[in-house]
Amino acid sequence: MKEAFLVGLIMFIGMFSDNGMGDPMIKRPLVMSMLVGLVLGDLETGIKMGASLELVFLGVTGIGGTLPSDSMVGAIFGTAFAILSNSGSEIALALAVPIGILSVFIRNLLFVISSSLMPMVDGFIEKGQDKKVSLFQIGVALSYSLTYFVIGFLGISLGSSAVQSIVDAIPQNVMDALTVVSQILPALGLAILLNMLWEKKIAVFLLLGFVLAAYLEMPVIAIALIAAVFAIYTAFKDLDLKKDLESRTAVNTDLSVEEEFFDE
Amino acid sequence: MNNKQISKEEKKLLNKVFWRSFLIYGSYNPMRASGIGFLYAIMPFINKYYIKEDERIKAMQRNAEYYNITSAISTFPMGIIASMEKENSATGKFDSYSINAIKASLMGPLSGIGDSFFWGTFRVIAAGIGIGLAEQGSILGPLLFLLLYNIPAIAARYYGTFLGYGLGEKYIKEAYEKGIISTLTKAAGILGITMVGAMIYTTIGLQTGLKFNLSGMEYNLQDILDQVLKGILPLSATMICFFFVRKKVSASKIMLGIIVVGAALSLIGLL
Repeated sequence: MKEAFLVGLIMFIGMFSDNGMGDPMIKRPLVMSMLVGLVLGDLETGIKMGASLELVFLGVTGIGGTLPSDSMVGAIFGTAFAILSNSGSEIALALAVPIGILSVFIRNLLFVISSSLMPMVDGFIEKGQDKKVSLFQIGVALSYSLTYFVIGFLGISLGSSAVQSIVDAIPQNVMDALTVVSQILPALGLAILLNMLWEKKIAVFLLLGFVLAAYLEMPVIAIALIAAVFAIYTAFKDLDLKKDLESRTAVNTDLSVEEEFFDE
Repeated sequence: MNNKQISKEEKKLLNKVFWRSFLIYGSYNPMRASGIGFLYAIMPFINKYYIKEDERIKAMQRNAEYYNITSAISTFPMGIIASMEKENSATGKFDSYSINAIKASLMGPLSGIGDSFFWGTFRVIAAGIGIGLAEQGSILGPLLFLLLYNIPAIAARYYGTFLGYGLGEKYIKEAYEKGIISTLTKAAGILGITMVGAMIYTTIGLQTGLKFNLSGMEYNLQDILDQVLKGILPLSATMICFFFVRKKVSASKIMLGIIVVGAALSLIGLL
């Protein structure tokens, strides 16, 4: 029980470090495994396992607030099972797999729930209730973290075979549907953003960005630089046009003065 | 950029932005990414400078849209936008469009730079050193890893706040005074829309796994779709949402539609 609580706490800390502390890399296996080792009484094994798991997950980035479930949950449970059952890291990681699947499922669920709360937040904003927005921001961070505490607690106290049966009990098509929905949701966010930027004359640049990303598979920086070429070129054209207009209106006012002169 | 121009009061507000920015991913979700986090972080500026309630609400609304950026450098655009909002509150010079365009145009390139610096470079160097020590069971491994990563990350976060604000104060104000803000807005709009186009492909991971048999040959629907237009599913999903947004259908209704249609398409095996 005590072990389950402590592992849950580490899950909480790892998750909260990402959502509420600006992602200081506490969620990485190197740190998470050390903490698991510390609370389970075998610091050295924890640190060593952290080193090997960090190597395994070095390529797994989970950039930009995407919940770091895979490397984090894998590292925490892999290390915990290794220490608790005195097994090697490979077996321990295999034991962690069902818990990893469960946490991906729960992550998608949380994502859909949190997305569906956005209209509520827009309601707060419409009424100017910024305190409620702050409360929401902190509240969701804590709820995400608390959910991970529960996964950690249940994972250790029930063991991986019980978690396996929970995972088996969730119908595969429900899992798939949830994944699909959370894959489509960014489309709405981007559509709203696009609506704010929409200008008929420059809308065609949407296609440029899309084609560069889809067909040429260019990195963002390269796409941004190409867009910058167009943007800067347009800006200079625009400035020239403005100067031109200004000088013309200047001439026009001169003319009108002359006309007035003749009118007299 | 001259820090002397930043008053004590502004410094205080910028410090608040710095601290609040740590929570930027707090309510991260696929629909808005860290949009609400962005608003949360620059809220002190909006509250301070917008006196008229309807203008304050408008400022809140435009800063709550989709936003995604590397956490460590998130304060740089926050600083720029804070300076624009402050200027706008006093003079009403910037419309929502120019603030949004500049915000959106910074998101892609800054995230690209931020991710490659912090995720690609600092993290990998820190991990390399940390792993070496941790392999021998030394606690210095994880600790050094945290230090090596976080010193540059927190420094960038802190100085980014002031750098962004200073740049906004100096150049964007100047741009306005010279009457070239509309030009800047147009340029930022081009950059912003191009990046949205790219993000449609990179952030929406929609694919179909449907396979079917035609006279003994197995066809993969995704392959056929790719031949028509690569990324046709993410693009159509966005354009359909965009169509409804233009029709002023509320976001919650569109979202309900996404959940129902997405789940249905998944259940019948199309997606």
